[in-house]
Parts: sequence; C-alpha cells; structure tokens
Amino acid sequence: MGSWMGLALPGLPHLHRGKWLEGGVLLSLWLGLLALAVVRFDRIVGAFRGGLDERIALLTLVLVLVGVWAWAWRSGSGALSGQEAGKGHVGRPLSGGWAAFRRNRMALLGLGAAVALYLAMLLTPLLAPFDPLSMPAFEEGGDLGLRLAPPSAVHIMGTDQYSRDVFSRILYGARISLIIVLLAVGISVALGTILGAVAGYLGGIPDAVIMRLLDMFMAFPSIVLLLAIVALFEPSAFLVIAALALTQWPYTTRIVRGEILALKEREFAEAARALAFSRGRVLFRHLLPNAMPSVVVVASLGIGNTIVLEAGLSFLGLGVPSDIPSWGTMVDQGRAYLLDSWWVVTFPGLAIALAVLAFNLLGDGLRDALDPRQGERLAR
Amino acid sequence: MLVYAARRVLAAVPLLLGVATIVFVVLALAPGDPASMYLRPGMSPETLDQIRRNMGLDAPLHVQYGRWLLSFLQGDFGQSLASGIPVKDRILEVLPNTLLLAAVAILLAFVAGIFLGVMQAVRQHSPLDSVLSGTSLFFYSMPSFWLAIMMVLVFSVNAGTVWGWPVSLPPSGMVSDGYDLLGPMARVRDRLLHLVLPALTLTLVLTGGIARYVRNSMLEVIRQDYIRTARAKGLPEWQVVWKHALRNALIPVVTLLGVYFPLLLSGTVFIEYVFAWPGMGRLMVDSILLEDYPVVLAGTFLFGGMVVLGNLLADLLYGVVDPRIRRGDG
Repeated sequence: MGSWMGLALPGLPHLHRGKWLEGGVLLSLWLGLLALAVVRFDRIVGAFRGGLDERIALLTLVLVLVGVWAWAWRSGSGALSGQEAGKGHVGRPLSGGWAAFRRNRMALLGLGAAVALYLAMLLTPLLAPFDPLSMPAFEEGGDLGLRLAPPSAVHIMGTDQYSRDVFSRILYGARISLIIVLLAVGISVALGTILGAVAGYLGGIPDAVIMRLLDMFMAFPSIVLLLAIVALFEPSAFLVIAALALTQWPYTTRIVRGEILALKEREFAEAARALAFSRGRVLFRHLLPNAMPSVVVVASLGIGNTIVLEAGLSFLGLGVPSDIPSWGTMVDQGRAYLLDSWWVVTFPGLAIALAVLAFNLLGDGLRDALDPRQGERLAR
Repeated sequence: MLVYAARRVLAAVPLLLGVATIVFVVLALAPGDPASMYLRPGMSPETLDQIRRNMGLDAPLHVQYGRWLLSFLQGDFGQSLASGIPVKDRILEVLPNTLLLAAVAILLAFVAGIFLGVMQAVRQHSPLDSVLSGTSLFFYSMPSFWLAIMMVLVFSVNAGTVWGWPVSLPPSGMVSDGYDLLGPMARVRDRLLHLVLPALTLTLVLTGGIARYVRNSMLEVIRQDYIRTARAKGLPEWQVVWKHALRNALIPVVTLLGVYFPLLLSGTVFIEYVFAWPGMGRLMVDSILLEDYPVVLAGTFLFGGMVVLGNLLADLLYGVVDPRIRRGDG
C-alpha cells in the first residue's frame, strides 16, 4: 500500500494497517468536509465577499482539511512509528496523561464530540441548511403549512411555529450558548485558580477569608443566585456571563487550594524557597503549573455544568434576549407546541444533553488520566 | 457527640449570616433605587421620599445592613409587591410543597442510587456495569427542565397513543380541578398521582451521581480484609455485600447528602416551574417575572439557608454514623 493512497484519501492506509480509530476519524473528516465543500460550493464562493462569520468558516474548513492531510502524511509515512506519543515520557505536567487518556474509550469519545462541537460552531455558516431567522411561511405567497412541519429530508429536525428550520437554529444556537459558556468558565476558572493558589500558599488570614467567602457562595444553589442577580440587574449578555462566572469559581478554588497545600510541602517547592525565589515566583512558576491538570479537569466539568445553567436561564426567559436562537430559549418556545409537535422541543434539549455529556466524559477521562486520586464529582 | 454537634451548629451560624450578607450585597450593588419598587403612576416626589425614609434608605449603608440582617434573621422579609401580603406568609404557604417534593425525590434517589451502585460494584466491568454507568452519566448530563418536558411528553401527553403507557399522568399542579369535591381516598390518590412525574424527574436527575459515588465507595470497601474474612466464614454472598460491605461503604455516602442539597434545590426550581408545582422555586421565578423583588430576595436567602441547614444535618448524621469524626478534630 503506497503512501500515494494516503495523499488522495487520508486515513485509508491507517485502516489498511488496522488502526481503525485514527483511520476512521481521518477518513470521515476528510470525506465529510469535502462533501460539505461540494454541496455548499456556492456559499464558499460567496464567503470570499461575506462577513467575518463566513470567512472564519471558510478558513476553518481549509485548515482542517490541510490538518487532516498533514496528520495522515506524518503518521502514515512511518516517521513516528518508533516513538509512540507519551510512552515513558516524563516532562511537563500535562503531557504524561495522554497515554492513559487514549486508553479510555469513553474519554476519547467525549474529546471527539467536544472537538466536533467546536468545529461545528466555526463551520455553522457553511453547515446550516437554512437561515436560522428566516420564516418562509410568512413571506409573500408563503405556505403556512411550513409551520411546525415534522422532520423530513429537507428539514431534518422539522420546523418551529414560525416555520424556521430547527436544525439550523440548533447550529446557530450552539454558537451563542457556547461563547457565553466558554467566556464564563474562562473567567471563573482564572479567578478561582488565583484565589485558590493564594489561599493555599499564604494560609492564615487570607486563606480563612477566601474559604469563608467560598462557603457562603457554595451555600446557594447556583441557579438561585443566578436568578437573584439576573432579576435585580439590567439584563444583558455580559450580565449573564458575569453571573455564571460568579457561581462557578468556588469549585476551582477548592480544588486548586488543596493541590497547592499538598504541593508546597514537596521537595522541589522547598528547593525553590531555599534558592530565595520570591513567593510570587515559587507560587506561580513552580507550584501552580503542577496544579494545572486539576484545573483542566475542573474547567471541563465546569463547561458541562455551565451549559446546563445557561440553557436553564434562557429556558426561564432570563438569559440572552429571546430573539437570538439559543438552546434554552428554543426549548422554552417549543413547549407550547408539545402536544402536536414533539420535535421543536426535543432536538434542542437533546443537543444540550449531548454537549454536556461530551464535556462530562472528557472531564472524567482527563481526571482518570491526570489525577486518579480525585474522586469527588462536582455539584452543579 | 454533644461537643461535636455544638461545634457544627456554631459553625453554621456565621455561614447563615454570610448568606444573608451576600443577598444584601446583591441588592446594594444592583442599579436603581429600591424605593422605586413601590413607585406608582402619579406619585409625588415627596411621597417617594417618605417611602425612602420609611424603608430606612436615608441611613448610612452599614446601618441599613445591620437592620436588614436583624429583620431577615427574624423572618421579616417585608411585603410582597404583587400581592401586598407579608413575604413570610407567601413563603410559608409554598415551602412545605417544596420540602415534600425534595424529600420524596431524595429518598427515592438514595434508595435507587445505593441499589444500582452496589449492583455495579459487585459486577465491576460487566456489561451491566458499563450500561448503567453510561445511562447514569447521560441522565446526569441532561438539563432537568428538558427531562421534565420529555417526561410529560412520554407519560402524559402521548399516553396511550405512541406506545402502550396506559395512564395519562397529570402534567401540572399539585391537585386536579375540583379537588375539594373529592372524597378522602380520592384526594390522597389525586395528590399521589400529581406527585409522580415531578418526583420521578427529580429522582432521575439525582440518581446517577449517587449510584456512581456508591459504586466507587463500595469498590474500595469490598477489597478490604474483613470482607475476605466474612466470605471465609462461609457467609452467603448477599449477606457479605448488603450487610458487611454496604454498612461501611455508606459512611462516605452520608457526606454526599450535604453535597447534593444545592443540586437538589436547583433541580426543584426547574421542575416546579415546568410542572407548575406551587413551591419555592416556582414562586421565585414568578416573582422575578412580576418584578416582586422582596420575594426574590427572601427566596434567595431561604434557599441558601436551606443548604446551610442541610449541610449541618449531613454533618451531624456523619458524626452519628462514624465515631471517628466526632472524636477527631471534626
């Protein structure tokens, strides 16, 4: 089997050699994206003149195709065959777990789904079959029968009460939900990490203050605190992000503090102190990098929890404005048509559940791979 | 035990104060004038000033804070703007409904979770174990409000049509219309039927996490020497598992009770909303839509307070089941 096969169809040589997983992923990505490029050829042409969204989608398409091809070429040509990634490798804190991670099939599935979700988010302008806001039934000469149409070959997840395509709305809804969630988790994890590191390293009064504050915040069920904040302040996307971040930091803080407490007793920390490094340097250059595996795990599980919270807030009509398609809003608006049109509410909810599942699997897998001791699950 | 209990109770008091403080901070940081909640069309500026004085808003912030804390801890939450009756009465009306729902759900969830967790641990790595793990993670990942709607779809709206489910369970409320006309037995039946879907949904949300925790705890215990001794004595396997091993595996599960209170109460908010269950969560969401802020703030405080009390209860229970805790520095 010559490597020329791998040039035309990346992944095929892998399949031939029995590397089913790698080959399958590469081949399906390659064929899927090529098919997408053919089907949406007019949009790709239009994307050159289009807005930022379309251009990003086009760039993503090209980069992923090149990436798939380069990966297949590298691993297919045997350059790496002697040296399997991660085997016996001792290095930076995050690199050691890959070997353990890839043995965990559920975790790989979670990673795959999370990456697929991210790609879908970037590719949405090319992927979505319809405009998420267009209501053909209400245009000139529109067919009112297009409203609440059951799933069919054209509308694979049916249409809603305004004849908008549910599948396209889910794709566009993923973007707004995920952007909010990723920003909120980013802020809360950064904040939580710093507070946890300071509390664990300094001890004494700063520790006591931070931990008591944390106890108070953790006493509120997240959604209740969110509701109170959203109810009293001017509603906006920024408020939702800030409120979500505010409810999520204690989990990170608690984990990081525990890690730092254990790490600061280790020999390398003592050595760093003996070298008269400043406290900031010991903490942020020597201790914190070793706590990062736990942070990654918390962040991943936190994304799952925050997706649910954000969707819940939108579902109650208190999240992002309801004219923007978001998963929670779609479930809320579809609820009135439950009796005859199950698809309007079922598919967006399923999208939430699968996205959350992906990040939970990923988080669990990462935890098992990086840090088998940590057994506790995070509460929402 | 008394010393331990006293220490736990004392630790809960500042936490309760802290919870009230956070609610105050949210209110103080919120834009706008709290007195404007009472603003009605055609009100003169003087009247508004009077209201402001009556509410104590002319006092410095720390004095306001002291008064606020005092009245909150005494259970005086002011008056509901929407209905005009004291917030306290509004809440006392709905609180038992939330507690009923939460109690039934957590009881069912722990029974089911313990049972499933033990089954999984005993058959570790079997197909049953993997299927149950996957299923519980899937249910754990579902948004509770969507699961609630799906339950309505399957067991209420589509009962008797798509599949063989015979009884259409009531999808909303605590009792049917015309409940007052029913006889005593029919009333009990009506209430139970209305409880089924909300309680079951909440149970499904909670069970997965509990099962997973029990499984891990059980796996740790089952490898210990005394279990081997029990088997060597010739005890039947069910006795080894369900009596000897489970008793020790359940000790850490008690702490889970504390961890689960926030999750449980978050769940009740959504489930009460979907099933129109007249409880605290439903009251809070309705009050937000009505801009009835005194109720929202009191509800927030009470949810926090319930978690604090729940954690206290779990701590005390932990002391009861595990003597090491109450003798140590606890």
